[in-house]
Amino acid sequence: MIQPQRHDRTIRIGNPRAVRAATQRRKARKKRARYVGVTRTLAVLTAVLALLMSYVVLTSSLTGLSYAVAKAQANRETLQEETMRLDDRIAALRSDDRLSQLAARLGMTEPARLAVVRIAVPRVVRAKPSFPVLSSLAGFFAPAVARQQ
Amino acid sequence: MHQRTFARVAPMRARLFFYACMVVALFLAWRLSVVQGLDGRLYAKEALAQRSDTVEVFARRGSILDRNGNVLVRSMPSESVYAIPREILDPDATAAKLRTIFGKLDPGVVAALHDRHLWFVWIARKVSHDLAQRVRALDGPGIALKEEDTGLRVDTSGSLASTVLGFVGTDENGLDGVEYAYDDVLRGRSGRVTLEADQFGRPIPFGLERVVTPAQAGSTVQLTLDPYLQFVAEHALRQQVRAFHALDGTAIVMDPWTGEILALANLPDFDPNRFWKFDDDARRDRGVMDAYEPGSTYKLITAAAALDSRKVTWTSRFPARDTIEVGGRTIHNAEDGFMAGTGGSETLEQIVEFSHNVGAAEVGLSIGAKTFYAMERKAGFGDPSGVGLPGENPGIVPPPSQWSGSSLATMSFGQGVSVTPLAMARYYCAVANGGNLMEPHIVRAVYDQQGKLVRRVTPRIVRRVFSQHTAEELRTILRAVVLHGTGDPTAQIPGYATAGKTGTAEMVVDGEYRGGYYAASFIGMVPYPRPRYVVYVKVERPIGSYYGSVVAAPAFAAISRAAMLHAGVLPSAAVARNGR
Repeated sequence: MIQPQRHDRTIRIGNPRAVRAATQRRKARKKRARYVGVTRTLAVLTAVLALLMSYVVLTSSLTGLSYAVAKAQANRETLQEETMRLDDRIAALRSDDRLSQLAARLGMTEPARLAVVRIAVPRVVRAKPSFPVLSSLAGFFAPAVARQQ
Repeated sequence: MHQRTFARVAPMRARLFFYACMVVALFLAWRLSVVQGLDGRLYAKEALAQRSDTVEVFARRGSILDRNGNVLVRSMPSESVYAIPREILDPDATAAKLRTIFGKLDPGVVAALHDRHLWFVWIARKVSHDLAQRVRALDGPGIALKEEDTGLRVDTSGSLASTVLGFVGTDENGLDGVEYAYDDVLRGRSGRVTLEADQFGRPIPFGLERVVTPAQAGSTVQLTLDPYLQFVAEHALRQQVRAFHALDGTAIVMDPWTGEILALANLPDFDPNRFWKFDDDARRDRGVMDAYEPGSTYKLITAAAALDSRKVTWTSRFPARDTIEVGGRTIHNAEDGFMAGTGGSETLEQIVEFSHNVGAAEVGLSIGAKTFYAMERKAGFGDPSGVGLPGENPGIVPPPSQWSGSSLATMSFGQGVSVTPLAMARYYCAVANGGNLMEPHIVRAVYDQQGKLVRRVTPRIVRRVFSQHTAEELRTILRAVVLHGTGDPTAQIPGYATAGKTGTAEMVVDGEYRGGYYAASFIGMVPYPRPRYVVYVKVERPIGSYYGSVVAAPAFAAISRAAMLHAGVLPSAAVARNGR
């Protein structure tokens, strides 16, 4: 049995409203205190889960990207092969054998005589300016549009 | 209220449940620590072994390029077509569809398609990409494609230089020509890689990959062949072979200063992409493999030996006659309109110019066996040239100890010895370049897969055959042959000065000279006096005419003219229309 405590002095409640409010606050604090542990645990779990989820998402994203890179590489190889095939096709089309057959079909024959035309290389004649200094200055004073042209 | 209720109704059960959970959790934690920690490495290793596979990585075979760097032969990824007869619903319809793609089907394959118990049969191995696409488009049950590990060899230029390039087998191993001779360079080395694979055995991208042995792709071999000159040589040779219904022919174009083989044409030839459809004879590199009796083109050996030994001078004269008896054998001049007559005399230049066998025999007899044989050996006859092509025939040049009484006389005009076309062309290169015997080569350089130069073949002088002065005199003789002798006018080209020698040799068939079997040849150089090309042409067993001047010289002229224009050498006004 617990002995009821005796208060030597009488308790005077100065402001009942304030007391009631304090009691309410105390009750709320107590109520909150009851869930603090749970809240903290949940927070930690959420954080861990978030980390795990982000790891999973990043890993899956990396895997997806690596598949995309592999696909791109395969595409590149296919295109390279296609380029080689086209090169071969060009080589076949440009082959001397084919061209000679085409020429024969068109009735073309090799010329029996060759005509060598020698063209004299034209001599570039530069007109000498009478006054070199003045002519260079003329360029400087020419309008901007003219210079651009 | 709740606390009270919980405290009252659940403490025992809750505790039991809690303890049970704890036990399970502890067990799981223990197993986890065992699996992940204690035995973790072992399990990881086993798991990796389960999902990984060691595969052989085949090295891609290197390409073969011409001297300009254009691809002549390369390997492409290949596919093979196979059938699963069990799955084929209508074998006849399937066979008909396949016939539309492949043309003719092997009867064995058709029978296999009807066999409902059969699981697998090849329809075609290593088909071209176009055919594979057409098969894929069929999309019929029981017909499928399999990617091959090794590639499909594609000769981009068709049958051009086919006898030189050779061909490969199903496993891309070189079987003939350059493909065979440089197989170790072209083939590369296959490697082994351990990699992670998914449930279907496909490699997991960016999965664990461990290279056990790295694969080394084959190197690229660049040849000295000029595709245009090769085409021209083949074209000109084909024209002559067809015109004279000949058995076969060979044409060679060489750079006398480097020993590079610019063209090596053989007829008949074959399509390397379908080599199995041609017989062995069509696949022979006659220029290197076949030795023959050269005939009059060999007179230049006699002339070189005579002039270089100074036993015969430019002004020495020999009695002119059309028959001579040596060692119990009568030697005649060819009845080609250039008879020697009797009573007069002729110089060495005239003997070669008009291709007098009797005169050549007299020159040979005057210089003696030792001098003649020494010149033959110095000229490289009887030895492999070192060109590096498979099956090279060194020729037969018997030593004087094996000679009969008439051997020296007959050898002086090219009978009783056998040489290859390449050996003859090489000798004429020495005449053209001032007396140096070059090592002929067909490979110019070798590059790795990254295009880095691995090896460059440099010109190699084997030895000096004769002096520069002798070479100059020999060229003068050859020029005279074209101007006034047996090469007039068929070996002349308008605008370009040529020099060369005709050859008409009886062929040995089954150990004896047989009438009507001749090898007509012409070996020359252009432009005279400082030649840029040596051109060799030989046509075997022509019908109609058999003289080198008629059968081979026109091909020489056609090739030389094209070569000059190809090299950008303009026709000279100083050389008249008839090449004089």
